[in-house]
Amino acid sequence: MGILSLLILIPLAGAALLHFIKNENVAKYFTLAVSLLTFVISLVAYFQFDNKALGFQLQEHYDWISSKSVSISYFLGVDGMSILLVLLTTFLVVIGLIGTWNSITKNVPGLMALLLLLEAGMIGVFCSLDLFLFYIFWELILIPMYFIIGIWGGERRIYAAVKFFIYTLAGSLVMLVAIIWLGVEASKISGVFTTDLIKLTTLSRSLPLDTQNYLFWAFALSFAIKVPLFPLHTWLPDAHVEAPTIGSVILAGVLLKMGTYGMIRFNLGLFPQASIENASILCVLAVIGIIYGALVAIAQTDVKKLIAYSSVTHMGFIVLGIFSMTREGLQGAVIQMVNHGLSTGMLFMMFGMMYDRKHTRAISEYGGVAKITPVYATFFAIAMLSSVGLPGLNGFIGEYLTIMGAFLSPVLHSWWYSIFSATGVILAAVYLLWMYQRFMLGPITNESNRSIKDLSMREIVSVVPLVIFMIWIGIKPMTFLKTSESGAYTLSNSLLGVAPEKTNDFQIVQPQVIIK
Amino acid sequence: MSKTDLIAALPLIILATTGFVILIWDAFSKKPSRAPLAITIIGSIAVIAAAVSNMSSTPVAAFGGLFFSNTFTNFFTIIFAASVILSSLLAEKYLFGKEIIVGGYCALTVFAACGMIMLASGANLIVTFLGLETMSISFYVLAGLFRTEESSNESSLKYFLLGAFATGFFLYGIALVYGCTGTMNLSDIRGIMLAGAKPVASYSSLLYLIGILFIIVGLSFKVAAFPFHQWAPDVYEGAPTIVSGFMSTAGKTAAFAAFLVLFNYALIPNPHPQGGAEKIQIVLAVLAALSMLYGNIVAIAQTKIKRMLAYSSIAHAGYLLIGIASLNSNGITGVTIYSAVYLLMQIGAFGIVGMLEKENANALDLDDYAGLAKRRPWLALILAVLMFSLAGIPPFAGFFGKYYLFLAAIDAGMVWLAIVGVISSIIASYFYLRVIVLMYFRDAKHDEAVSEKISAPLVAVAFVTVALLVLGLYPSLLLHSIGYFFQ
Repeated sequence: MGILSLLILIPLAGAALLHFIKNENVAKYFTLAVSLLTFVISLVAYFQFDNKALGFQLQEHYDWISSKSVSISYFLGVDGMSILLVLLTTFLVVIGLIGTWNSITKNVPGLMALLLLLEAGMIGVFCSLDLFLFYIFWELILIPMYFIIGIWGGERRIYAAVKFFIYTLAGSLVMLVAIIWLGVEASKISGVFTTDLIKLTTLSRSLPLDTQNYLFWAFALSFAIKVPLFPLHTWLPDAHVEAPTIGSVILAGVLLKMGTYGMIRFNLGLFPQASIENASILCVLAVIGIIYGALVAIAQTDVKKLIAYSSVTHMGFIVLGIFSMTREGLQGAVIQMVNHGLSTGMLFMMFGMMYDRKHTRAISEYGGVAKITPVYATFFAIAMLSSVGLPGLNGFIGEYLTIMGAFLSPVLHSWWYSIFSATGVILAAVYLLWMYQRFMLGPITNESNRSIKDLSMREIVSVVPLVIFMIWIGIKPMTFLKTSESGAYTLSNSLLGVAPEKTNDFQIVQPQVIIK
Repeated sequence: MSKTDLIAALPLIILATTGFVILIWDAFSKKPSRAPLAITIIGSIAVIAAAVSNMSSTPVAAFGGLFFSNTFTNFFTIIFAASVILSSLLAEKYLFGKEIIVGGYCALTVFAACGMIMLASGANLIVTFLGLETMSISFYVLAGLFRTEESSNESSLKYFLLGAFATGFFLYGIALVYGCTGTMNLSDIRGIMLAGAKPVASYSSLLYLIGILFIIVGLSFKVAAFPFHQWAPDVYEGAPTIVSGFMSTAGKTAAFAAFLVLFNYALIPNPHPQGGAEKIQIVLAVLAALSMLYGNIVAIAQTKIKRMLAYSSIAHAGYLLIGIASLNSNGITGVTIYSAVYLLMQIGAFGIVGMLEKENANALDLDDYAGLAKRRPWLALILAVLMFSLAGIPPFAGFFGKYYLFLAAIDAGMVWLAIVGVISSIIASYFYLRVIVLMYFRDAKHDEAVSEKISAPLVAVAFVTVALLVLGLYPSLLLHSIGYFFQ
């Protein structure tokens, strides 16, 4: 068994074993141990991964469903983009668990089991190289998330859970039809129905253009719902607001990335021609989402809703970067996925800590909290500034690269994309700084807030690693960009019709160099 | 009558004998006992053993071309016998709570299963018809098993009157096909159609098309496809719950087996060289689309769980009709897998409804399921798996069946049908989820947890759940035993 299977099986086995653990504390420590183990194994996988090599690595291939006319396999593998997302997943599960250690009191073993199930599903999504397998993992995630929102959520949790489930299911069923259709069309060329991504990548290019276009949109619809891309974002605020903190952290941190990851892997990978044709439509939607999300965020009085709308904005940058199809855009998109996972995940987690103390989400209930809890205010400020895109922190790198990608893009033909999306950065400063001001600064308006306790040691331990990575990516992004480089460059080259380069010829483009 | 004939019909013979033994036992036993259930289960296990051994032997048309015995027919025989076992296990508690004659119930399910085997294995239109009638008449009586309850009587009478009408259509269709082809033998009909020698027996012959249409009407009634579904909700609601479970699964599966044999093998041989079957294909596809949409949309509005399951079974008939309408080998595989999987899911769901109905004094409203996860965590978990599987969410087997059906439709060039299927699946997810919402997210009226005791019905539903998970993760188990039927 390969290391990637191990990454999926360990949380899965952990989830199964949790069924026999009744004690709450035992369940928590057990889950922490399992998720730490998974994180360590993902680190091992990361170090086994060769940044310079092309193509998918750490591959595992077993026949799964095979008959005369159908060949579906259990096929795993990662490239630089997916290994980063796997790391993000395993990292955030550990951090989220420590950060929300005492938040849940109801049926703890149940929540822990669902969390591990979710982790297995997410890792599976990022590692699958067979469309059928991908679909199974993609849908597998629905069930635990549905229960996490529905059982441990806020007042309107049932509405939010059902909306989340049906919205996502609608998208993914359309994708299912597309997967089958693609397989059937490809089998007319090759003779065998297969869902093998690598085989389909070559086959799909010889399909009729019309079919490619339909398939492109079927996949795009499914991913756009998950991202979520304007105007399909309406499930997100509800789900975020009602979900318990750990649910929000995972939802914002990892689940949304599944959509953008799918766009890179399947929309760009399988249908380059259709992608070039339709890039501008998706980019327009992305830019609308950037501005719209920001404007709506300004008007929010509920902290979680505000962060949720800021997600719409940030995910818009990622989609813009992806469909610019340039190296810079793709690299920016990947690093922005990680950034958004870190900063929005941290914002949700930190607000969750405050919510555990105060039990209200309304900004107006707070005010001047920084005087009472200085440590909390400092960390919250770092997360907020990272989300704003302050140079020196991670958010800046991602937004910079995606905007530049859009600017350089040979498919978009216009610099208006960059101009409008850049206003999103300014607006982000407006809604986040204003929120911070009302939340943290000024006089203490609510006397009952004086009794709020500052962060405990456990909570500090959970946020410090996030801050370390924010600064690391902000100052030396190449550590991470190098990993995703070969994948992003190969993809961009193949899209824009450039002959594939050899690994050695990669020019490591430092952001500083580009500024000139 | 040779030895091969007897061996080919062995499963049927064993099952029929079981039925008679039960009848005789029942005539001489004084007080209700569990013995008939035991006899039924033992008999059915013997049937499965016989069918398994027949599966690997060479295909034959026994009794001078009246009765097929091949992988296909034996596969379905196993399914029918398994459903008899499951419904006997589920009946164990249910029957002793209500005053029903246990022997009568067992004998009737066994005779119904005999009809199903004939329906799936008939190599002659008359045998198919006999099977259909044997099955239906047993069902009419089974639906009225609660002799003292008005709803049960109404259910039985309604089913009988409408069923007799549909049988008329089916028989008339057979007559027309006979008129066109001059034979009742399915292999001969296939030969005639493949050769295309007789102009009156072709897709351009109006007489032949009407004959096929009437057969479609007759069978659509049995599978409760829209617009021949009106009886289903009332009958399933009025009939005893375990009987509804049996009728809506095994009965439907048998009718679909007949659909496959008649349509893919005989009347419209696959692959069809002359072409021209599009007219029939479109009729089937429209029936499929309407059944899926109608069943799922109306199911949303239901407040009683049995009615909800009844409407969802209309929708599932629609999904299965996709496979029939595709008229290709993926369609055959899809229908076979999905009918087996559907049988497990639906019989399990009705089984749980029956268990709870028995314990909580007719708890048949959806609201009675509120907070079930707290009261009965295991039952709720099983029902949740069944609901996810019915909704077609991976990794449960329901998803894989649907996958194959959509594959068949797209393979046949009917992407639109797959899209309709997808849309109706989305609609369906709403009411399946509602059951889970009630069980897990709402608070119970009374909260005390009941410790689960091991009982026959619990074993049955637990088995079903495990089977759904295993088949969902490793569908090759089913695929390999099916192979390719008509080649």
